[in-house]
Amino acid sequence: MESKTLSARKITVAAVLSAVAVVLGATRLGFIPVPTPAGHATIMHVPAIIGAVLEGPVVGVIIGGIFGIYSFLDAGTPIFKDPLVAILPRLFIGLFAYYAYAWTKRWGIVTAVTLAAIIGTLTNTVLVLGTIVLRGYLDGKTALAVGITHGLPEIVVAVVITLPVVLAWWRVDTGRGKSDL
Amino acid sequence: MGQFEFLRQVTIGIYLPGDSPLHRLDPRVKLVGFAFLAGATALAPTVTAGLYLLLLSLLLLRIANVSLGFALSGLKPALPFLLMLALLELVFTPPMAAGPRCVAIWRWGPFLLSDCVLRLILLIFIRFAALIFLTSLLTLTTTTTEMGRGTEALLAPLNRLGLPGYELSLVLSLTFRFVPTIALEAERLVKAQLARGADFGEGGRWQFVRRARGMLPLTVPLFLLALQRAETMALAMEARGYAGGQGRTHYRALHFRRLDAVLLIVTLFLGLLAFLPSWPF
Repeated sequence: MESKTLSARKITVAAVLSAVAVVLGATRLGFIPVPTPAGHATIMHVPAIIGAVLEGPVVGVIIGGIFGIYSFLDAGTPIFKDPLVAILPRLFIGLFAYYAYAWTKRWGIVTAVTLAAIIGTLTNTVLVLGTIVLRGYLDGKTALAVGITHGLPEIVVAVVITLPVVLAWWRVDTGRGKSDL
Repeated sequence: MGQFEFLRQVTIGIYLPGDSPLHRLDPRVKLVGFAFLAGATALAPTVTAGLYLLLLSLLLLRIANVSLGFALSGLKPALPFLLMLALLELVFTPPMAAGPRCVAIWRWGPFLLSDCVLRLILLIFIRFAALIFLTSLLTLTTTTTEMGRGTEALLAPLNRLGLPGYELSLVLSLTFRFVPTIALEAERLVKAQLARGADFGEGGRWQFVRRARGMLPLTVPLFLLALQRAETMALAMEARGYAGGQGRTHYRALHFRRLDAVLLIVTLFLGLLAFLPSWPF
């Protein structure tokens, strides 16, 4: 039964983290000013990474999809008013982040979660810019420049946000040094 | 303190009550029609085809009794970005617009305006405007409940393939339900941490690590409270005997009327018109 339907826990975690992604976007809390052409690094994709690490690839993909749909519906920039750019690449954030985590888990949780955040963010940056180039909005060189200047701060920011959340949640869960926030 | 009233900034799920034909349309028809027209707009091959779709979406807004100003408000914040994008296209001619058949219209220093670049810029602008109108059209005339029911019905075929179609629509409805709650929670957290002397706005653009760390007193509790909410809710669902939702019935059944079918076919037909090869430019 587990294989065919999602457990109640997976459903609610996916829903709640998607809602966090939407709130981070709508309130602009999810945009951290950085010195790049775009002016800010987004952490809206972080819920997808966290969902993937905590509850598996399916939950990660669902959160990424809802984040994609939201960024398509509420896009302030014309490029993201293209469903191929806004939705499709976001599905892979959770997927790749989960496998990055699962394959490196034996190296310790901190390493694995850090790698999941890095891979998840890279997936977002590379695939979004890739589809932008494929759709012909920007040429390859410009996209590469945007990717490098924009991608690096975004990775750092994503790790800084993801790691404490996952570690704190698991500590609460296992009851070691329970924090009451 | 006005800047911390996050709930007001959440515009998703805003519904304009009304009694227009579009309000009364079956949500399944609305979702399919929207997806189809949005797809047609995103893929519209020429400027005139895009203009045609833009006019079509304006006509639909008129039918739905949505004021033009309301729909246009989504366009304003995007204008500076549109200008920047146009400049970028002028300086770095993208490969899509650099074919041998392009004719230069205007040249000044590094700027080269060929008819292909002009077409690309116009196309991006038109697509953007049309998609904004179509999106407002869907969200303003459909309640979140209808949206949930509609996606549930449309995702039902996935269940046959062994994919969690019902669960997906449940996740969507729950997301809609949780967005205001989490926005309120974020608001409370920001105010509480500011009262304790948190410095969310400190650090310049170059100190982005510091700024990201400065966000931790907000993001960690925000995520943890959200996850706790999810746990509680999962427990509540299981306590009420939730075991997959297949075969559940609804208090209000959706009725697919003949008018819905006719309008669906008309929408699909109007969308397909954009792909006629005869649209110039």
